[in-house]
Amino acid sequence: MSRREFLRRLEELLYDISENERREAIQYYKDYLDDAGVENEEEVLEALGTPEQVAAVIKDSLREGNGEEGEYTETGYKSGMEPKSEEIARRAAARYRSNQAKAKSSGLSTGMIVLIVLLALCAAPIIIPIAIALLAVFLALGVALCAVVVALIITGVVMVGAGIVFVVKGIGEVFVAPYAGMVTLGISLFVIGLGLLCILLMVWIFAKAIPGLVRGFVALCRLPLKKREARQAAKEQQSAQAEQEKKETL
Amino acid sequence: MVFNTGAALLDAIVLAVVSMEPEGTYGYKITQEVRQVIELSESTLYPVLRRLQKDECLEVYDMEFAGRNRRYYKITERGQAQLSLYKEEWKRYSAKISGMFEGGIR
Repeated sequence: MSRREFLRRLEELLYDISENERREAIQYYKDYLDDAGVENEEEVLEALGTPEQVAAVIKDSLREGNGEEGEYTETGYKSGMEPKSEEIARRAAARYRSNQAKAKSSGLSTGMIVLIVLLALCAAPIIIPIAIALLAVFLALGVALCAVVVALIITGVVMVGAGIVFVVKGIGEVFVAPYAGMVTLGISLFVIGLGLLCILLMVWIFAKAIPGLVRGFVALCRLPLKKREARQAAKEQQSAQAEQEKKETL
Repeated sequence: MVFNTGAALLDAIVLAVVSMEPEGTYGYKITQEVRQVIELSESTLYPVLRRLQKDECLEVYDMEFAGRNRRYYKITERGQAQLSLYKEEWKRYSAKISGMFEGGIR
C-alpha cells in the first residue's frame, strides 16, 4: 500500500467523526509520513498498521474521551505489548526444549566413554589400514583425473596446432585444386574450433571443478567436527541468553 | 518490556519528551523518542497527543518546513504543571516499589 492509498483509505474510514477531528488526524499522519522520509515509507506504513487499525484507535479514543479519567485505555497500546509477551513465552519454550535436548545428548556416562575408547583401541588395527586404503584410492582418483585433464589439454593444443598448419596448407591448395582446398580449409578450421573448446573445458575444470571437489571432500571430512562446533556454539548462545534474561529481570 | 505502560504514565512520558524542546517538536520525532524508552505501536501516539492538546496541556502551531506545513507541539504552562505533578508522583511511586523489592522499607 502506498502513502497516498493509506491516507485516502484512512480518510474514508473516518467519515463518521467530525470534520475537524478528521482533518487533524489526516494532517498528523501526513506529517508523520513526510517526516519519516520517502525512503522509509514502506517500513513506516507497515509499522503503523492498516488504515483500519489506525482509524479504530482514533475512533476509540474519541468515543471514550469525554474528559473522563482513563479515556485512553490500555487496549490502545496493549496491541503493542501482546506480541512481546508471546515472544517471551516462545523464548522460554525454546530454551526448555533445547535444555532437554542437551540433557539427552550429553547423557554419556563415564562408563560409556571408557567403553568407546576401548572399542576404538580394538578397532584401530582394522580401521587404520582401511583409512589408509581409502586415502590412497582418493589420491589415485585425483591423479587419474588430473592425468585425463592434462591429456585432453594436450590433445586440444595439438588439434589447434595441426589445424593451423592445415589452414595454411589449405589456403595454398585452394589456388591449385579449389574444391579439395576448401574441404581441407573447412576441416582444419573445424579442428581448431574443437581444440579450443577442449582447452577451454579443461581450463574450466582446473579452475572450478577440481577446487570444488577438494572443498567438498574437505567438508565431508570435517562433518563430524562441525557438528560438535555447532553444539558448542548453541551452548554458548544459550548461556549468553540466560545471562541477558537475568539482567533483564534485575 | 514486561510491564504495561498505563495511560497516565504515557501522558507523563509524552509531556516530558515535548517539554525537552522549548520551541516545540513534531509527531514523528515525539514518537521515536517515546519509543526509545517504552515499546508502543507507532499509531498509539496520535490519540494521546490529540487529547493532551484538548486538555490544554499541549498547544499546536504550524510552521513551514521543507516546503510544507508541519505541525508542532509545544508544552503549555498547564502541561508543565501537570508534568511536574506526574514527576513528583512517579518519584514516590517508583521509590516505594523499589523499596519493597529490595526489602528495606516496611
